[in-house]
Amino acid sequence: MITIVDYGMGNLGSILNMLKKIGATGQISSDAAVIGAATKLILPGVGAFDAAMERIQQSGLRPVLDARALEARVPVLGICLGMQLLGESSEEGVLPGLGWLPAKVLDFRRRIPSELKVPHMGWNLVRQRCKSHGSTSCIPISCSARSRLTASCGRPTVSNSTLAYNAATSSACSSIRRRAIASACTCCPTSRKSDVLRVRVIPCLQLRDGALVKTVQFKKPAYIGDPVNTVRIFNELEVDELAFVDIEASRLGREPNWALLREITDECFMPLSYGGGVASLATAERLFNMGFEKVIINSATLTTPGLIAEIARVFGTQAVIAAIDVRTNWLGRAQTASHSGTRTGDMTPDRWAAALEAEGAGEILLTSIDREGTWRGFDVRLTASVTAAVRVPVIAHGGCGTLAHMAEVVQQGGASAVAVGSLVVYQGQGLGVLVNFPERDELARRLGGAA
Amino acid sequence: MTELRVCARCVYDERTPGVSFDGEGICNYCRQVDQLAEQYGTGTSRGEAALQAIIEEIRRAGRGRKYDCVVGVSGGTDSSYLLILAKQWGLRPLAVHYDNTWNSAIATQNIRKVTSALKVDLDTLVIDNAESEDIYRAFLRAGVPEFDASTDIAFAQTLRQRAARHGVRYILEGHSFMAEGLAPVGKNYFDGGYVRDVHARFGERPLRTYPNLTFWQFMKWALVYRQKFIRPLWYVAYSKADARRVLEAETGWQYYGGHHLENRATAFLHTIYNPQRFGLDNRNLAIGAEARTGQISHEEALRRLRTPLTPDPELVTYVKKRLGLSDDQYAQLMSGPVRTYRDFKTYKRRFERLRPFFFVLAKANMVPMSFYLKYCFPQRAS
Repeated sequence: MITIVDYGMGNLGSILNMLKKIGATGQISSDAAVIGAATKLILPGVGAFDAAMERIQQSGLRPVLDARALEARVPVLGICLGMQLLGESSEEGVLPGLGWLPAKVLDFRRRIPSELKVPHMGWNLVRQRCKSHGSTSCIPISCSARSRLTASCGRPTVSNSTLAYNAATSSACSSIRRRAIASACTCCPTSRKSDVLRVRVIPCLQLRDGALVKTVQFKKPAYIGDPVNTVRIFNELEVDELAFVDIEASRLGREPNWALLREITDECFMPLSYGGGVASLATAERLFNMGFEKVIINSATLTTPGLIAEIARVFGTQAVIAAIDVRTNWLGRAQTASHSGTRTGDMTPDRWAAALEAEGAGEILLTSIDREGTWRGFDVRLTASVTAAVRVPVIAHGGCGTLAHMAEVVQQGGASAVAVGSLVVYQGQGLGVLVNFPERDELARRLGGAA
Repeated sequence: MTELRVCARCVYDERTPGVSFDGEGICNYCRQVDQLAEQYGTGTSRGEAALQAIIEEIRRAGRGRKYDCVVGVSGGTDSSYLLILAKQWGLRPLAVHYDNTWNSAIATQNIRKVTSALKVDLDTLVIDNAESEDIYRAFLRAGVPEFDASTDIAFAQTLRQRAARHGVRYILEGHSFMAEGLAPVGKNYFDGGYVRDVHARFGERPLRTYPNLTFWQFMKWALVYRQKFIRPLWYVAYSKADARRVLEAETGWQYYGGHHLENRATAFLHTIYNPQRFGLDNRNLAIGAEARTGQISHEEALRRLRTPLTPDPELVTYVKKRLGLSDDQYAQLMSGPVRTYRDFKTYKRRFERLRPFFFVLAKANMVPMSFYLKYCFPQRAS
């Protein structure tokens, strides 16, 4: 039995799901006795280094973890932040790490000049640079063959990539190795121009009253189907990532539909983000525990100032997507909106995006209300104005009708990812409901990057 | 122990409802298929000519319209292949799909691949997921074997409704009595009245979006809209294996490994619910048909029937989750008393009384011939 350590910071649900998917049995535990008897350990982690170390100390699990890893020498897999914790220290924090590996975690952004946007999420291929570590004590997890990234593990520094410690023979690790999700590991990109990150194509699915719907310009929600079954279909289509947005929660001041979200995370094998009614740190934490990788926040940025900063401080910037909904007013000026488009903000989208980035947003989900559900193509000018104003990845959303639209907003708008709605739930404009996803090689041909 | 008597051609045995064997040891269902093949000229030039005449009629009636017929699709073999045929015949079909929200990815992908390769538009009716679950729960609670009846009924109603909406009078459906036989009416029967009564007695929420094919709807489509229900595969030679090869080569369509397994509700019905709760193995329909048409030997058919069913264990988990059933509740629903359609209000009597009327409608292709043969005769005691 593989034991996933619950010390209060991690996407526990999604790791358990991955184990289920590869046919391994796992359990989540915060009980010292259970962990003390574990034969394999997974140390998850989403967020900030210091916050995680603090929580480990507070949990009282430190002695038993040390004993398992250093004395019993059970295989340990550290994922994402959990990997960073294995080292002696990290440039992302001031507290000492667990020190199980004689390594320091360095921030590659300070060393490698790169235009690449981080945090990067999605499927990637990582190459192992240093053989000696691979066979003995640490293995960089290679992610599913997608675009090109390089992970390095040259001693004494360990790049921020997922490592497995003392795990060469662990079946859990080798299985995960075959099919790791890159959201579980951030990697060190090379500076070579030829290395292209694959553009993520993210189905953005709207929830209302426990059902899946699709709106046009934030109005006229049309019924699409059952969310859980649709998730299963997207699972089998191996989409990069899914975003769920409850289109009513914020406007009606509701909590997320927990029962439904639990069912969704149980079914889902790809990184998931959720938006709608995320108005407190506690709500975000519950979502992360459930298995969501990222929370999407729009309305609460106005009603609860400082929320993004608070979540980013604890869970890391990569866990926070700031949503900006934009509508063109009658003067032709772009205006930001919130609460399902019912309230208007006073900042221009680019300045608003920059402010949210400064607060700690790791990604911007930029939606054009005017284009949403229309199949007319993304608002490229709007996207370009926002991508120019921020360094974090921007997900363009609203209006995608063809693959050419995607290519356009990536190449001319500078978007790092695209979110699509109608395209993946209808056969075509004005036609029937049909959950689908573009063919991989077709996407690669249009958007670049390996399929 | 006495051996069960088995038809010398197909694999139906004495347990099949309403079965009888003639002097040559061949069952009445094989003879019925022979009769139909004779009547429709299936796979002969006479059948081809009859179908060509119908196609000509469809084309003529559809002049000046965007579509001249609707074709019901499920992502399965027959309906997907029918779409290819319809295009070859020069028809301008609109594909219509009834989504019971239990589709597998392979089914939706198949619909996408086939409709995009053939450039056919798709219209879909998706039932409200909560209603769909309520109906399925009601059938489980009722303890009747027709777990998925609501889908078949709604599919028929959706086809007719969408045909009416698009101003089309011709409905094509991918059934083939050669490839599937006609299901013996025995323990299994269903119609719109049955779905309504089972749900009225065991459901919880009102049905608002469920497209039920009630008796009067059925009459309206036939008599007022004068819709024609055509099953082209009754006229032409058809083999599922060949159809699959063509589909794979021309559209990238994928096989899902068994009759009806493209939908999770039907997969549950065929691999878990019917075998475990009622001791019914529905594979005999397709396997029997293959033996009957000589595609596999009689021995091979019997061998296949003896291979145990291999249900996907994950499917039970999924069903429990979708229907909101605890392990105990599920276990209870899988035991408990069993009922049949005779314990509910159905249209069966009415159909039987109106048999001469339906004979005329079936002859005119206004209701399916299989409907007439199955629904309008009293069931023989078995």
